[in-house]
Amino acid sequence: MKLFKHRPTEGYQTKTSIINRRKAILTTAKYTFFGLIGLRLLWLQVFQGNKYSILSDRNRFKEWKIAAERGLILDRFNNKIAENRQLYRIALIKGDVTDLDFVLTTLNKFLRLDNEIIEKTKTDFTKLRKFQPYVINKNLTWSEFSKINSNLFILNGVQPFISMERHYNYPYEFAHVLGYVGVPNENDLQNQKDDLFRTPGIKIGKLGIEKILNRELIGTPGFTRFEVNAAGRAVRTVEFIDGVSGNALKTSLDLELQKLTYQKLGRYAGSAIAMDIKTGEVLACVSTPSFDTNKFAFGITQPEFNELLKNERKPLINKFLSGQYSPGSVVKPIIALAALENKIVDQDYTHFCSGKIELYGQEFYCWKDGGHGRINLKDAIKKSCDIYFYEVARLLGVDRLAETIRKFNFGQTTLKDFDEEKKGLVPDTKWKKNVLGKPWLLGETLITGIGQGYILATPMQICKSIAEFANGGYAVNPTFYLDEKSKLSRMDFDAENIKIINEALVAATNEPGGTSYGSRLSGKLRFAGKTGTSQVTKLTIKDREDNANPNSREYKYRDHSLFAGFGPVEEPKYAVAVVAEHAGPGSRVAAPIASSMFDFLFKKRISNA
Amino acid sequence: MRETVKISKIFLLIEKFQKLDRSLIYMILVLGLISILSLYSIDKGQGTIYLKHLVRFIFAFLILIIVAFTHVNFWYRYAYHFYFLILFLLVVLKFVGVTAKGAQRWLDFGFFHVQPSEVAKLAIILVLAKFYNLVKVENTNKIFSLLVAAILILIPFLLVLRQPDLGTAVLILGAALGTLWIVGLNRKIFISGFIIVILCLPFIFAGMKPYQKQRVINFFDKERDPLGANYQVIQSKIGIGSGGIFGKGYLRGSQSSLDFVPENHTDFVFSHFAEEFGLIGSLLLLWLFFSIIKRVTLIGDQSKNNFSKIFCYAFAFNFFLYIAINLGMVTGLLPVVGVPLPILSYGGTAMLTNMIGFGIVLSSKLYNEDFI
Repeated sequence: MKLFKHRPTEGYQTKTSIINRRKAILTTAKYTFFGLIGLRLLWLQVFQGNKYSILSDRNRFKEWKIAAERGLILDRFNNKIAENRQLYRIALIKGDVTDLDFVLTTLNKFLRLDNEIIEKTKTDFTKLRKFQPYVINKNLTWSEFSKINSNLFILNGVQPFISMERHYNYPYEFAHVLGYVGVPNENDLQNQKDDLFRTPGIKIGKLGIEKILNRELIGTPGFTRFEVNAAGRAVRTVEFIDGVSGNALKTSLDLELQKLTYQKLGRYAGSAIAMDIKTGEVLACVSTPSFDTNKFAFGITQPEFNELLKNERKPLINKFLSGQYSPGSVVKPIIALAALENKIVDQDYTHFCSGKIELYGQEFYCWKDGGHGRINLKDAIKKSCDIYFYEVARLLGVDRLAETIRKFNFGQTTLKDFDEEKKGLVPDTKWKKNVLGKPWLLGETLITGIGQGYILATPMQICKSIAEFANGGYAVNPTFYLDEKSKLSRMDFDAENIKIINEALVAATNEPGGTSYGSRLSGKLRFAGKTGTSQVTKLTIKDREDNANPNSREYKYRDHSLFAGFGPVEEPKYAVAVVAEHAGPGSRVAAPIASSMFDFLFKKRISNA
Repeated sequence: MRETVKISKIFLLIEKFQKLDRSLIYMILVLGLISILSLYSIDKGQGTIYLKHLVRFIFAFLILIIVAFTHVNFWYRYAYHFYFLILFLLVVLKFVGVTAKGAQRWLDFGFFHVQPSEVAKLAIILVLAKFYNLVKVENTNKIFSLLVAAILILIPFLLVLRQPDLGTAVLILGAALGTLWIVGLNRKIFISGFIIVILCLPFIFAGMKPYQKQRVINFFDKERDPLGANYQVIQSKIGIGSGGIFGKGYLRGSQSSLDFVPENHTDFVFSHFAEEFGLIGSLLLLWLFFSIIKRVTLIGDQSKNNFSKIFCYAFAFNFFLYIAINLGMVTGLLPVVGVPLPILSYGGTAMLTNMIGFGIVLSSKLYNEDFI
C-alpha cells in the first residue's frame, strides 16, 4: 500500500493542475458572492435608502414637549383673576436615581415631605419607563430649592426645575365660573384626537371657562429635540423650540362686584348673578359656599375632596347654572305677562284676596294671613298676592302659561358650553302625561302660577328673564366674554304689557307695601325687582303658624330666598338675580344682597362713568 | 570569512525585504486603519476599545512580519504539532475555559484571552494542506485518505460545536471543505455529501440550542419579533440603508454610536462603516477585501510547491468565507451566526489568526522558489 509518496515532487504536475482548476471554479464562486453583496448594498442603500434614513432618525431623535404658559384670564377692567406663577419643584429621573430610598430620605431632611407623598412617589416610580421624569408633588420655597441645588452631588437623579403653574388670585370668588386646571386623566386623553394633552407636565381646564376655552388658553407647546441612545437616555439636545403661550382672555366679569357679591352671600349657600341687560355680559356670578381652586390645580388630597363632597351645602355644585329651584314669586311677572298677552286680564282687572281660597276640594293660601282684599294687577305684583295669581293661572290654564314661560328660555340652557348647566323644567299637561304618565290636575295649575310645584328654574334663567323685562322685551344671551356681539332681537310681546309689569316691579321695591321696599336704595338711582320665597316642601298648618320663625324647621326644609331685579329704574342697565338656599323669605335675605350689588353698581359703575 | 557571512546575511535580509509582497502588506495596513477609525467613530472617541484594537493590531502585525520571514517549511514541518496543540487547547477549554454568553470559548492566560476555536480554522487548513501535499494524487479519493481527512476535520468541528459556537464551527467546516475542494476531492463526494446534509437538516435543527433555532426561524420570517430576536438585523439594515449613496460622513453615524445596533464593535462593525461611508465606501471596502483575496490567490499561483498553493488558496477561501458570512449576516441575506469581519471587527484571537495566516502567505511568497 503506497498511499504516501516519499518525495512530494512525484506526480507534481497533475496535482498542481487539479489544484489550479479547482481554484478557478472557487474564484468564480467568490466573484458571484461579492457581486451579490454589492447588489444587496445597492438595494439597501440606494433603493431603500430613504426608508432607512427615516427609520434611523426615528430611532435617534425623541421630542420632549414642554407645556406653554397658560393664557391669563382678566376681568373687564384688565384685572388679573387667573395668572401663572413660578414654582420651584423637583423631578426624579428614573434610571438616574440609583437608590430611591436614600434619595427620598435625604430629600426629606431638606423638605420635610409628607409620608403620603413619599409612599405615592415610591409606588408611582415603579410604573415609570426608564429615563422618564417624575415630578414630586410639592412646591418648594426658594430656600428649600437652593438647598437642594447645592446638595445635588449626593442626590443622584434629582432634577430641580422651575415651572410656570396656574395661580388663581381669587380662588373662592371665581371658582365656579373660571373652574380650574388639572393633570389630564385617562378620560381626557382618550377624548383627545391629537397628542397635545400628552405633553409632560401639561395642565388642562377641568371645569368652567378654563375647560371651555382650554384650547385658546393652553397655547402651543414648545419642544426640545434630543438625540437618544438605544436605552432611551438623552445624549444631546439637538434643538429647542419655544412654545407660544396661550392668549390672554378678557372676560365680562367685574372683579370688584364679584368680590362684593361673594362677601354679601357670605354664609348662605346660594348664588347671585349680575348681568348687563343689553349685551348679556355677565358682570358677576358667584356660587356659595365655594372652594379653593388653587388646591385643585395641584391635585387636592382625597380627604379634602371627600370633605367637599360630603358638605350638605354642596360647594362643588355651580349653583347659578346647575341649581334648579322652584322660582316662587319671581315668576309672577312672567305669569302676569302671559295673562296680559293672552288678554285674560288687563291692568285694571281686580280680584278679591281673603288670604285663602278653596278650590277643587283643596285649600290654597296667600302668604299674607287675612289677605290683601280687592287687589289689581299692579298691586298683586307689588305685594306678591298669591290668591290673585292663582286666579290668573286658573283663567289662563297651564299650557298657555307654559308657552309664555318658555319664551324666556326656561326649560332650556342659556349658555352653549357649560356642560354642568341644567335646563330647569316648565311643566304642562303634555309633559306630565309623557313623563309622569298622569293627567294634569287643576290644582297644579294654581301653584304653577306662584312658581311652585313642578316648575324649576336656574338663577341664570331668572336673571336672563328679568333682564329681558328690563330692556323692554328684547332677548338677551348671557355671555362671559366681551368680544361677542350679542344682537338684540325683539321678543314677541307687546311693549305696553312689559311696561305695565316693569312699573309694578318698580312699585314693589320703591313704594311702601312693596315686598322689597325694605331693601330700596334711597339715592337718585333706584332699582326695581321681585322677591320670591320658594317652598321646598308643602307646608303644614303648624308650619304656617310657625312661619314667623323659619329657622324652626330643619335646614333642608327651609324656604329658598329669591330676588330678581333691575336698575336703575329710569334707564335700566343691570339685572340681578339672587338665590339664597333655605334662607327664609326673599325680602329678608335675597333682596338686601341684590340691593348692595345695585348700590355698588350705581355708585361705582354709573356715577363714575 | 565571518565578516562576509554576516554581510551576505544582511544582503539576504535586504533581498528578502525587497521580495516581500508589499501590496498585500499595504492592503492589510489600510484595512487595519479603517478598522481603528471605525471603532473610534462608533464610540465617538470615548472609551478605549479603539486603542486596545490598535495595540492588538500592532502586536499582530509584528507577528505577521516574524511569520513572514519564517521559512514556510517550518509550518509544513510542524503542521501536525500545531494541529494537535490546538486540539489539546480545545479539550482543555472544556475544563478551564471562561464562560461568556452561555459558551466556553476563551482560555484565560492572565493578561490576554485566547479563543482556540479561532486558531483551529488555521490549524485545519495547515493540517489538510500538509496531508494532501503528502497524499498521492491518485489516492485523493481513496477511502483511507477520506477517512483520515474526515477525522481531522470532525474532531475540531465537533469540539467547537459543543462549546457551543455555531459560527466558528461552520467556518471550520467551511474552511476544511474548501481545502478538500481545492485538493481535488471528487465532485460526486461533494454532491452526495450535500444531499446527505440536506436530508439530515431536520435532525441538525432538532439538535440545535434554542437560541440557534430562534435565529434560523427568524431568518425565514423577517417581520417577526422586531424588538427581540430580529432586532439586530433590522437595526443593522437601518444603519446600512440610512447611509445612502455617500454616507452620513465620518463620525456622523448614529445607529451604532447610540447602541441601536448590538455587537456594534464586533460582528456588526460593517453596519457602522456603511452608515458613515455609504454605498461608495462600502463598495470600496468590498473591493479592498476582494483585492486581498486576489493577491493571496496570486501568491498561491506563483508558489512552486503544492503545500503553499493549497494553503494560500484555502486561506483565501477561508478569508472569503468570513467576509461572505459576515456581510451576508449584517445585510440580512444570511441568518445571524457569530462570525466577525476579519481585521475590522474588534477581537484579538481572530485578528491574530488572520495575521498569522497572512504571515504564512507572505512566507510562501518569500520562499516560493523552494520545494518542500
